Amino acid sequence: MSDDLERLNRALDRMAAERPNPEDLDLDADTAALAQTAAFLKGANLERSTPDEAFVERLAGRLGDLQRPQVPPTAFRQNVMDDAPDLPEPDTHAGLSRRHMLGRIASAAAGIAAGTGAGAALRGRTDEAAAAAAYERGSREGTLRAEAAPYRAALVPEDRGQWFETGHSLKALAPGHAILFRAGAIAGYLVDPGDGGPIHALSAACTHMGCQVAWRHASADFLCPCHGARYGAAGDVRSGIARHPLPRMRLKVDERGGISVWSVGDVPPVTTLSRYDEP
Amino acid sequence: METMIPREAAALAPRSLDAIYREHVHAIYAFIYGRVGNRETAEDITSEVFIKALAHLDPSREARSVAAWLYRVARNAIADYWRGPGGAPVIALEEARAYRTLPIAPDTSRQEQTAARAALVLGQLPDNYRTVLSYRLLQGLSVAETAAKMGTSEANVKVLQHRALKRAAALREVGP
Repeated sequence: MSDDLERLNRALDRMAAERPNPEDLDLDADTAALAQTAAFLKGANLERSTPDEAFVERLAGRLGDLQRPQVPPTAFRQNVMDDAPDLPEPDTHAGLSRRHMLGRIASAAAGIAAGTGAGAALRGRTDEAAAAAAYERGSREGTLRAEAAPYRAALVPEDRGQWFETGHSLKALAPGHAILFRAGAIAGYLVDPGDGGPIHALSAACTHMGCQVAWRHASADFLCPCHGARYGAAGDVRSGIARHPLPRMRLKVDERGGISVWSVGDVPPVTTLSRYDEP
Repeated sequence: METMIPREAAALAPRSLDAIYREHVHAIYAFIYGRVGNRETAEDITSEVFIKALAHLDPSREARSVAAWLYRVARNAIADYWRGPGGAPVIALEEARAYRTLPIAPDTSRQEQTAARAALVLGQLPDNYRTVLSYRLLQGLSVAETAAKMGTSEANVKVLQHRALKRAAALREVGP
């Protein structure tokens, strides 16, 4: 009898903490029925039996992600397949020229030119000066390593793009989560690395050959299905064949929390890629 | 001028899963919460239901059949949660059997109905039973805090909450 009291009490303690029953809690049928009655009575509290809005939006985002096709658009894939084999693989980060790097990003992102405009997206504000300084410092030294330059060049230059609403809001973006979006010609992820720092808008195109990377919540990383490249939540290269981080996009947040990104509306003709091979 | 949609077209137009999700998520969550009693599990099972719906539910089904499907998946997951030591599911009380006689206005939402039923059962309990369950379940106080508030021992709180739930379970089964 006193065992029953204790087992029931453990179940109620966990309910009070809004946590599931402990694994080792073996409830007999009678005690389980009492615990279920307790659950039923907790339902009397409308506040508790109403789902958290953040949870509702997070799940909506997850369902949306699962419904989207995980394959890049044909034109996009065509560009990359035609172009990538001709690009030499650099040996190290340090050996990469800026022009080359820009060319790579451009080919990886549907042939969109990444110019000199550098943007850093922070929660609710942009810090252009810091980004530009970091960018210039990085390019002077001939390196554009993610670790060295906290803000990478924005994927779409300021004079080329326009703001696109992603249809997602800050509320939907919980720490440690990422939401796939499509803005104009670019597919990307809104991600909150969960480290208390800024949220990011990252291109979803793997910088190796342009396949769309998949967010994996459990390990908080992006995995490329084609050759296994792995990126951290901030787009930094973790392992695998990719040598460059996922390009960032400028983002802004409106007063209602809606997130917009700076993107382009159409895919430029393939011929525009050739300009990056000229001196 | 209002555009009229032909009846057939409206009936055939499949609703998106997003629309189904928005329509049902609150009620499904409340349904699950009132059976598992904790937020973490309620969120897990709610996610499971809609992710399964994505893979297996035909959205062009009739609305009633969509709802029935969602609740059936939820019920199965809840039964799994309460599965006993031998792997046998501990049978959850059927609300239809227990509450068919309760006078609940038919136009209130399912979530409100569940809450109203729970409140009715609570209301029929003797004062000290209702008090101990209010502290422990609705306010989430610990045994020690509840004992202090009620001016009794922790051992007595454990006995009281056990008896109170027994009485509540009986009321739930029988109805008023």
